[in-house]
This record gives sequence, structure tokens and C-alpha cells, in this order.
Amino acid sequence: MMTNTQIKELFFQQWDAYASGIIEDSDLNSIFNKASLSIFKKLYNNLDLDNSYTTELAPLLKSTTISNSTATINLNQDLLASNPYEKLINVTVTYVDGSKVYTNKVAQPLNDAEVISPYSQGTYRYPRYRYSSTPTSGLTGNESVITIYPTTNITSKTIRYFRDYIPFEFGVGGFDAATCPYGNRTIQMLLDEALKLAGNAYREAQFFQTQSAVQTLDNNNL
Amino acid sequence: MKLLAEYADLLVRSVNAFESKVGGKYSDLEAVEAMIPMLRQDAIILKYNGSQQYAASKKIDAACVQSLNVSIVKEDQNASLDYLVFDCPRFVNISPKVGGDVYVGAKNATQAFKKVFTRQEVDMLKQRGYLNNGKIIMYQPIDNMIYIYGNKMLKSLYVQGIFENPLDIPTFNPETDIYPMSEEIFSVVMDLFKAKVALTLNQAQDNVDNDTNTESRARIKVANQ
Repeated sequence: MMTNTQIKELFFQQWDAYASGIIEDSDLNSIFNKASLSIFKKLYNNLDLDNSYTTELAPLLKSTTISNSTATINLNQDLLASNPYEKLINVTVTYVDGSKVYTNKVAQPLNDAEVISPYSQGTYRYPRYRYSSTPTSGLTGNESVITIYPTTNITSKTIRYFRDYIPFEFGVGGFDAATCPYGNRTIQMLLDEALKLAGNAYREAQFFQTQSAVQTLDNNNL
Repeated sequence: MKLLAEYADLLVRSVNAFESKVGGKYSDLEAVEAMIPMLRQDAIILKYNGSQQYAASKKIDAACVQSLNVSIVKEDQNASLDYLVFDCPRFVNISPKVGGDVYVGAKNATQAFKKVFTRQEVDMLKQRGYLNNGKIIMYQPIDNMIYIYGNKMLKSLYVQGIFENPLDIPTFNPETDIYPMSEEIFSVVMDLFKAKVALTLNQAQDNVDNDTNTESRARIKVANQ
């Protein structure tokens, strides 16, 4: 575990090895956020390939239990605002039908092509879920809504998901002194990606500077 | 002694070399579970009556028997009728004279009612003077009902039997209750299940192009003769 300041120092140590451009905190934040976006997108999609990623991704793994009988989960509203939704892992549902309790049944996705099949529309033992983008009254635009089938006798549902990456805020409040929640492997990946991004940006800036210098030179020679 | 989900999982594995194929070709447990009552019924009938593969056991497998109490539904009874009707899940029809009904009788005593197959039998007995004292009680299972003749005071029935679909029993909880099927019957169920999916399992790979001219050789042969 490292503090955010340590990450920043590491970044500048490696950055100084081949360049000496000064990067402002606000630029550094956007570089690290862009790096997070690409790194975590890759990790989310390859989750099944390597189990160790799950420990690395632990700070982003979130689980919310909603204890009501509604058959829908609104991904924008029902989940904690501090943990914005990014990618679904699974949905488990608990049904109570009279004296029979079906606890935490994993819902399978219901594809459009399967909707016509009566054996794919979900039972208490094998529930299904489906994305339905329906505008709700009083809200603008379409919300991402998951509907669970069967829709009756639900007592609670638990949604496990990846939250959006945790934004970097170097130089803001107590962020620098705080400990970064990611594991060392993820931090290394983030640093690599950030250096790549910063390097590209730096080279491009240098190129344009040279070009403008050449142009000015050319213009002067005219 | 397995749960329904365990039987379904075993069936899926039986066509996947006993490996777990989650998300594989035959892994729709929901559909497999829906097939189990049908296969179980076939297996029970096959085991009882015998087939080329299985010797006739001529005995009802006790592991397949379920029991339930059936209460009378007052709204369904008509005062002018001389019989009672109870709702009861359908029994397996094992052979023309043997049904899945093992015991139909009084709830708190070992008083088995006698089975009749037709209303004519009841009528004949009535004409001969039976069924009037309330002591000789007869029953006739029709579809998902049990008709009771000879006693109109009955409030509830105790029924033991092999039912078409064990999930039809209101008290049966597939999550926690042992599925009423013996291992002996299940081995037949597995064979039947494999036979049902054998077409798709054993289909040979089609290596011949659809464009291949398979006629010309035959024609040449004919021409050479």
C-alpha cells in the first residue's frame, strides 16, 4: 500500500529518467484518470482469466443489497452515489413464496432471442434479469434499469458490480497524504500507462514546438 | 437421496463426460429440471413393466412415494351430489390396473378406501345395497381429482402415491426436500436422458461440401456396365 504522494514521486522518478517536463497537478490528475480508465476497462473484461486480479480490484468491487419487493434495480439511483456503477458482475435474488424460501439465487441474463422461450423466463430457482431502458416519470432521459424475472415474491436482491474508477485528485485537500486503495500491481500498471500517456503528450508538444519554430524560421527566410 | 438440483446437475454432466460445463451446450438446468418429472415417470413405468433392457420389477419403488393431506374444498361441493370431490395432483399410471396411488384413506387411521375404476362399478355396488352405511368408502382418481363415494361426511384425506410431478405437492420444497426418486430409477432416467439428447451428441461431422458432385461417379459406373 502506498500513499498518493509516493505514487506521484514514483511517477516523477521514472519521468525524469528520460524527460524533464514539468507536469502540473491538474494535468497529472487527468493523465492518471485516463490511465485508470484504460487499465480498469482491460481488467474488467479479463476478470475470469486471472483470479489475482480480483484482489487487485477489491477496492472497485462493490455489493449492494436492496431489501424491497421491487423487481427492478435502477443502476443510477438504487446504488450508492459514492460507488457509481460501471460493470455488472452478478445479481442474486431472494424469493419467499409462502413457506418456501429461495435464498440468493443467481440470476442469469435473459437475451432478446430467449424471451419467447417459456423455459428462459425465469423461475424462483433460476431467476433471470434483463436490461430495460425505460424512461421513468419525473426523470430526464433513459435510466439503466435491470428487471428481474419472476417479478413476484421478491424480498431482497443483491447486486455485485465494479464501480467506476476512483478519481485522482493530486493537490486537492488531503488526497496526497491518503493511502491509495489499489494494490502494488495495479499501481505499477497505472504508472506504466500514465508514463506512456505523458510521454506521448510530451513528444507531441515537442513536435509542435519544433514545427512552429521551423515555420517561424521558414517565414523569416521568405 | 439427492435434491432436484443435484439430479439435474448429474444429468447435465452425464452428457458432458461428467465434467461441469457451466454455460456449455447442455447446461440449461432449468430446462433439464423440467424434463426430470417426465423421465422419472417413464423410468418408473419401464422398471415396473420391464423392457428389453430392464427386467420387470413388478414392485412400486418406495423411494418415489410422497404423501400429503388433502382437505375438502367446501365451495366445490354440491349438496345434491352423492359423492365428494378432492383436489389431488395427478398420479403416475404405471399399468392399466396399477396406478401410482399407494394409499388413499382416512387421515388418522389405517382405513384404506377401495379403488374403483369406473362410475358403473359404483352404481352396481349401490344397487346391491353397499355404500349406504358410510363404512365402505370407495375412491376413483380422475385427472387431478379424487372422487369419494359412500361417505359424504369426510373432511380430509390422507394420500400416499407416486405423483407425475413431485413439485405439484404443495408442501414439497425443491430447495431443501429430497427428491422422491431412488438411485435405481435415476440410473434409468440417465439412460433415457442420454437417449433423448443422443441425436445431437452422436451426429457425425459433415465433411462433404454441399457443392460436391456425388452423382457423376455413379453415372460413370452405370455407363461402363
